[in-house]
Amino acid sequence: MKTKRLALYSMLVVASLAFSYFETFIPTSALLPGFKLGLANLIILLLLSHDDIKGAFAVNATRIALASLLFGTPLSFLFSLLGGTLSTAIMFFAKRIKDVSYFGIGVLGGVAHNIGQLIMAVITFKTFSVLTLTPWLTLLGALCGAATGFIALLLTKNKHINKLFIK
Amino acid sequence: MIKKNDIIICVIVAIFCIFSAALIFSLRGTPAKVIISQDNTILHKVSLYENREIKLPHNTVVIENGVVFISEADCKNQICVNTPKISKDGEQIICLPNRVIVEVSE
Repeated sequence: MKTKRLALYSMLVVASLAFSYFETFIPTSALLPGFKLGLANLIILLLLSHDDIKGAFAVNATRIALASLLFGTPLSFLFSLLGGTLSTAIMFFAKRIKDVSYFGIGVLGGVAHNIGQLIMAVITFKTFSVLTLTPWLTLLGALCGAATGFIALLLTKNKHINKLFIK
Repeated sequence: MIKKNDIIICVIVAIFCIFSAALIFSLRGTPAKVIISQDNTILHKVSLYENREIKLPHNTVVIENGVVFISEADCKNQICVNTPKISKDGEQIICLPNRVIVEVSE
């Protein structure tokens, strides 16, 4: 890996970690237990916009590992990892759909993240009763995904930001 | 900017939300019991209308005038304590660190 690439990934990990830290100050848990905005999704969308799927997975996994060590628990690590990986994979495939912008990709990513968390909840609690949260998690995931997707849509049009990602 | 298939994605997600919410509301019965479980093993099954306080190893569950909440937890995130009080069939309070679910049931 080129040194420049390594520096870019390190910077992106720190930026997404800062998003994760920032989210701990917003009392979104009052709305739905454990619910977070998912601002770090912006970084993943930027990496995906340059077709860097490996970078997206690497940055996301590193961010989740560090965030869980700093502000989470071992279980929250598994929840975030499944949600984040599923969301990145879905967004990668969503990019291949014709006539879709980062807005739609963000919505799918947000929903996929929360579906991933629900799957993890079913495995952890060994019961399907947690699935009663499905509509709320889908709705909130879609709203937050739409917001981050829309910001990503604006950012990918910025040539100074795009220059950073060129291999 | 926003393209055609974005709208279709949003519509599909909205339909999914409405459909799943409708399904959950239609399956909802009259609330009567409080079930406290850990790893799908029922620890306590008590009436929703009998005021009491149940002490678990890591959490304290309070049942008061038909509503349930967790008043204390020994974890650092306190998500279960901050969860709004529950009273309707199917509503839950989840404590992730201790894998405890408090659920209102028929």
